[in-house]
Amino acid sequence: MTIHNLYIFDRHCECIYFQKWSHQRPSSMASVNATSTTTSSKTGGLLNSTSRMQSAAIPGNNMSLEEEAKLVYGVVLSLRNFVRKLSGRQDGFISYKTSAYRLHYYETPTGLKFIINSDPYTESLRPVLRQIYVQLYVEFVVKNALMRFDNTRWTIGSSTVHDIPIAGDDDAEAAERQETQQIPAGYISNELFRVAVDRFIRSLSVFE
Amino acid sequence: MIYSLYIINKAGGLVYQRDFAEQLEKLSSNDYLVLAGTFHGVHAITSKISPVPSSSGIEVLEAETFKLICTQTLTGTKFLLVTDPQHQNVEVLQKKVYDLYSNFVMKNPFHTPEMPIRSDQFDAGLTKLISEA
Repeated sequence: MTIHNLYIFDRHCECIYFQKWSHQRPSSMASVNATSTTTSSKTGGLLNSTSRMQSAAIPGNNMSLEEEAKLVYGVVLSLRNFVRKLSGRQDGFISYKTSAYRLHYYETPTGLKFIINSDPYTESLRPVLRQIYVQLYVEFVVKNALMRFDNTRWTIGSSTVHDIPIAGDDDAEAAERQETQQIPAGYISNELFRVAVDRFIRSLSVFE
Repeated sequence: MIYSLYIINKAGGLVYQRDFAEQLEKLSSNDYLVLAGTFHGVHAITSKISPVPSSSGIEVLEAETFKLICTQTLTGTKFLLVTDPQHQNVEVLQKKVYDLYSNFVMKNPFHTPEMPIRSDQFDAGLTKLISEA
């Protein structure tokens, strides 16, 4: 049993969070994570996060994360409306399964959508998604006094990170950081939330 | 318990729709066509957004009040069976539905492929099958 990835969408259909867990090389993956958390204290974890975002592409699939997130949102929204129409209830859609994966869905009353992909034989992960919302999202995002809620893309976090001077800073790096100012989809600089989610998912019995 | 059966042709058009129980909302025939088209599109996309390579399209959709099982034939026709959430062994039933389809729809010389199914014998066979299940 495995957990593949996690998406969070806000109610403006914007992908505000994406994280992928690789299961091919668990030992090297763990070491990458360990280094990223140690270096994140120096560089703010920003460049590390971007490199993690780029490696998030599905093997044999050259879709960008932005396009993929749009498709996921479209599928989930269509199925939600499909279920609503057939059952006449507000939050009927729980999950769907294909031959290779299972997608679990949880929507908060405020319209935030939590989506997790696991292998097809995992039982319902809706309680897990609810826990991520209640225990992690509310704690680390909603209660974060620096969050700006007119734009849920954690902009305030990234700007404070940019203010931190980096030793050995050259022009190329500066340009790169200028580019990252245009926050791509699924890009969150709230490192505490990211670390907490990662730790929580890895602690689950269904994660192997 | 079987709630309903939908048959969607390879182009996403609804060619057969029948309810066997009252649990689901009654919709207009136009709404059913829209739902079938939506499902057809979603089915195609779900194989693209897979986190692992070479996934099929959506096979089982779980909701609080029902479960939808989709099987696609090699020719692209989709059979959707809507059952109660606890229903087991749908595969056997799906196969029997497909048997009926082959016998009374595909072997019917007056049936136009990809067009709505109008066959009394298919209807009667389904009624018998569902009442036995």
